[in-house]
Amino acid sequence: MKFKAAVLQKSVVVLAAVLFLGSAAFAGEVDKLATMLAEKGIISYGEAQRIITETKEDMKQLTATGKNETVPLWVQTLKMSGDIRIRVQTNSNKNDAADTHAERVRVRERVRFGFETMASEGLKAAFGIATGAGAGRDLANIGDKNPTSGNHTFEAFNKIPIFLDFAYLQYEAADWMRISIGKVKSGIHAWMPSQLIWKNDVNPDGLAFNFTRKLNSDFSFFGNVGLYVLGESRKGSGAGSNLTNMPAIVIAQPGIDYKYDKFSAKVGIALHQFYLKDRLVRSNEAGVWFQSGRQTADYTLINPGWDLKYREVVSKYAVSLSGDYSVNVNEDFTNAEGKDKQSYIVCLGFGDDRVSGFGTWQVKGAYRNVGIAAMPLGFGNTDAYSANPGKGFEYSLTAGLLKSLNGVITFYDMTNPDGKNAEQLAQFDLVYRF
Amino acid sequence: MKKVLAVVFAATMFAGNVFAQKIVLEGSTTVLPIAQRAAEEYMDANSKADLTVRGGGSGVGINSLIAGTCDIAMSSRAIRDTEIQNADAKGRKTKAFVVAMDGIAVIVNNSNSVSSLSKKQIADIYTGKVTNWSEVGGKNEKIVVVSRDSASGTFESFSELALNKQKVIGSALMQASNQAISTTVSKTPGAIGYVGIGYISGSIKAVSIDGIMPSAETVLTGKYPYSRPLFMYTNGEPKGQVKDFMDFVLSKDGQRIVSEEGFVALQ
Repeated sequence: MKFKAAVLQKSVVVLAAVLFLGSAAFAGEVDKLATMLAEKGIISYGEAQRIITETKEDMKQLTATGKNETVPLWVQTLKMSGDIRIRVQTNSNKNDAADTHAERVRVRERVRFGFETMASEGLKAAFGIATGAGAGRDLANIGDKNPTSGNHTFEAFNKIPIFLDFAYLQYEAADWMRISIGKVKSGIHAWMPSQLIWKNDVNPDGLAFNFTRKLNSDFSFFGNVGLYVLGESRKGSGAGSNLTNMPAIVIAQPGIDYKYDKFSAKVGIALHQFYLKDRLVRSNEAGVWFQSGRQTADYTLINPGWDLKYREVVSKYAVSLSGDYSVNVNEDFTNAEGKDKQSYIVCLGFGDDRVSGFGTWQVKGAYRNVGIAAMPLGFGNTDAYSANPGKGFEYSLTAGLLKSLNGVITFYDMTNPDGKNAEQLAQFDLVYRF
Repeated sequence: MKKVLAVVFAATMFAGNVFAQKIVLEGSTTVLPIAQRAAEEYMDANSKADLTVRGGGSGVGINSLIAGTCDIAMSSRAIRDTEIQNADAKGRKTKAFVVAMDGIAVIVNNSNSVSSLSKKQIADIYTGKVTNWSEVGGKNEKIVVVSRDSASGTFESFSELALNKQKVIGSALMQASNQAISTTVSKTPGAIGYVGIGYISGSIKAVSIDGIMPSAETVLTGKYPYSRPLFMYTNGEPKGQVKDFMDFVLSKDGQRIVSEEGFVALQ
């Protein structure tokens, strides 16, 4: 009741100011009117102070955002972001059995442009467009919708095809829970300390629940749960040979985030259940993302991941140790060797906490080993041994050139699990973010 | 395998829910004692209420409100334009409530002939530029500077309002409470200290600042220079239990707590 009375009192004073003094001089005149009412004993000085200060704060809301209440919320909250990346990429591939050695140099470009807005309080709508079409060789075939790359290879001055990269609705059901549905942006489906299982270009299609809860000033809990679909379900006598249950992935990932002074640690354990066996997946670029057609096995991945960081170890520089381990425990792989069902990556980093502006930099080195039965074909970082089973080192240097412009050098030195068919990949990137 | 899947799934869902029904207040250490007392009395009267109050500073509280990790941000300063813009980008609209006024009285020993100082003189005394009462119209006596310890909200307030965040002289006697400052000043003839306006008593003498005496009226009218509003911010118009709690803080009982904690009540 007190709250209502105070609001009512404030409203009356504000209304009086508008009526008697005109809206142009609004905030300043509310001061005078409230003070006058206090001097005459109609309201207390404390109430006057409250009205004056809260009115100023209300007005500040409008001036700080430069927005008018009459403008729809989705316009007020519209945000755009994206990046442009120019890449020179060299590949060197050996085939020991055929005793051949192929080399390749490509110049590639990736452009991503995203929009997001609050459709109403708590409801966000987001979508983004990006270049794609993989190697650029299938421009005539717009069906080549490679999910693992936004790169377009420069070729014959061709125009660059644009695809819808992500599009989803996100509802903040409570301060601690968000629900997203649609083609969700990478990272919403799971927290990823590395690209061991998920390449960060892949935006999965489905339903995601994200939980975060701060337990105290040092600890917080997070959880990700989701269902993602990889194709359709077809049943009934008219479906011919296309009868299939829906291929899908269920992910559940609880974890904790801990920060104390200069040390931070984030640890999660994800369970990936792939429902694939006897189900149809129509991959558009066979051999890169699933093998198109009826799948032969389910996968169940148990995947702990970690990211440990200590800031200001030497001067302003931080050291980090991150990685992922995954083991496929599905019964369809009972007869596979243990090492073939496992994969891991360990990454050591050093440098500035964030690369932003000239003079800031980070170096990283990592070792990756992916077994032949560790995950479905195409998962993982396609830059590293084309995401085929393999092992080897990778190194990167990221250097700030301007405030939003970075230069990145990345080098992969991989072989297949037997140590054969060596493959080196070097990338030189110029990345502008906005 | 289905059992493992079910357990991990349930654990992830449960862990998100188990901590869900709390109201969290976070922010200014100046406002903290008001919020703590108010939360205790509110929970005594509402057995189902579950309030957590934690400090961290005004900026931390406002950032937490914007991030959605607290329900009410406590702040001893008004929200900044950049913070409003950050909140706006997340679709949040902060709502300000003035819950109390903070007034800090500068006090001297009753035997001191000085009864008025300027803002500049106060700053010079506390930063060590003026060390003798004779330099500000008093007798030839060394000034003994008494201050609150740097962890206190009153220190933070005084530092901002009186010293423009300059450092207090190293020889200052740092005290842990308003009462300790009052006692020290009352027993030390050359002492100068500062206390919340509710701690002015007959055992010490409050001086006027630029001719304005500290009082509830001069603080509430904003005439007294060492005064400022104390805020609680919510995410939009408060609803449900957050609204109930704000209602309580602004009620007669809530404002009694404000006075008892040494601040100036709004009614």
